[in-house]
Amino acid sequence: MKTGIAKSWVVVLLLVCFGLTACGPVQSTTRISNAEVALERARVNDAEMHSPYEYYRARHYLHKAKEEWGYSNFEAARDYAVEAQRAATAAIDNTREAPWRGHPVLGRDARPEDVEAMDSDELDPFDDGLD
Amino acid sequence: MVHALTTQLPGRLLLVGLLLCGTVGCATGGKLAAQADEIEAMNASIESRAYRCAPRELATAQAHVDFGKYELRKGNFVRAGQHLEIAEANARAARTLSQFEECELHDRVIDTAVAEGVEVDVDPVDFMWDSDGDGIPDHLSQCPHEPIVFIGDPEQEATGCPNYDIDGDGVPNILDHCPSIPGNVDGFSGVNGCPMLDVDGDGVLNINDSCPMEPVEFIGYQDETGCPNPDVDGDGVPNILDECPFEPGPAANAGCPVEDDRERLAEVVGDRIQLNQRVFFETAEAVILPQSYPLLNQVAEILEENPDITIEIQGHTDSRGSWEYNKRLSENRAASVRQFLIERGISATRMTSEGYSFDQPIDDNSTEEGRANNRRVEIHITGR
Repeated sequence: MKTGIAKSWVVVLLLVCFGLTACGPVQSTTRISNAEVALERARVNDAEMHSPYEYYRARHYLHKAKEEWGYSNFEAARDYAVEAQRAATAAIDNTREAPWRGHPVLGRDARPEDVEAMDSDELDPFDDGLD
Repeated sequence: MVHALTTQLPGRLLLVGLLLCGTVGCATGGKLAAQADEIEAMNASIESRAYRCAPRELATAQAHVDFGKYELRKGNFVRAGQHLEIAEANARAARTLSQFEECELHDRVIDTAVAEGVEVDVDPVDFMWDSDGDGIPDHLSQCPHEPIVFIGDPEQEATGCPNYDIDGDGVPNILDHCPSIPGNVDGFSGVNGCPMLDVDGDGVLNINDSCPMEPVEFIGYQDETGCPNPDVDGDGVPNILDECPFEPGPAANAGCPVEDDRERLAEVVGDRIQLNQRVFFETAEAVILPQSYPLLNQVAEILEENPDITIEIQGHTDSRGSWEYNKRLSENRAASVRQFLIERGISATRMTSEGYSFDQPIDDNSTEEGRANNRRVEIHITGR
């Protein structure tokens, strides 16, 4: 009898400990998951082409959210994931309602090098930090 | 001593090392924070253009600045530096791509193409609709949403646009007490948009005032120039000191004329210069006695004041003695008077003299008084 009660207490204690320690990871994981879903929907809708600002914003924030999750900074990971989801949703809306028409002079594939080539032949590579 | 040094040295080295690390960390953190601020400012300055022309670069720059600042707050300078490096490169790229005029974002137009087959009800245009309620229908108004200012301005009524400064004097109608009259007439700015037609307030309008900024300081006097006249009566006594500013007078009399209190011995009456005193001569001679000099001096003054007058000086006697004798005596006496006046500066051409003996008596020669009256000199005006 006593052994059963003690087991119950141990289970309760373990549940409490789990709840206290896993609240952050669970929430941030959920947010990251939701953001990933939203970003995937945006990608399928060609948001990269039609709403690049919001799409890349979502990508950067999701990337950072995962990075912070890896460092166990769950609060930051959750915040970045929330922003990533918001940007991905906005990207989908923009894709449908106000698609980007590309650079008004250089077109969709405009690069800084094109502009610089207009004035000089020097090219300046840049990195957007994404893999 | 040596033992103390060997035991304290590691602690001191550790302390120095910590201080060094702290200083380097502070310097690096400050540098990165400044970099982040600059990139953020650059992003803000190009955001409206870059959203259209470099959306990917703008998103990357903004995100990595955000990340960099987050890492800075946590003290991860290495990671912060990596983020800021990416942010800076992308901000520069966004700026480069956004330098076209076409990148100016006027409106984020939502493309709502109407699908074929969908009928859109379009309300007929109401040509009498007047959005701004100024009485001019929208289709006739160039400013359908701005009511005109009704101050009888035909130009506004023609265009339908308000003119907030109808008289163009720089004072808005709402503040202009004279909205239809420019307040800056003749180069003088008025008050409350109203013209100041007489700036110096001397009663002479600026347009007629040769001295528009100088009032005629003398109250009650005004000439056609509007300029101050310091001595209106021109007597050399300034108005401010002149007790009789309109009448010339010597300074000794405070600018007032001196009353002539002399007895008027001679005056012009009709066609004669009437002598109120007799001209006295030596008995039976034509020599004028000094007591008659004042009388004849006044005659000379009258002739000076009336330079157009010509006169005849007549000599008359009583009836005692022969006619010839009296004729000669009266002629000589008249000539003496003429000579006296000539010596006082009167032109000889203006005067003639004549003796009439006792031919023209004016009183009874049988009495002494009558004879005295008949012995006389008369001065007649013969021309003016």
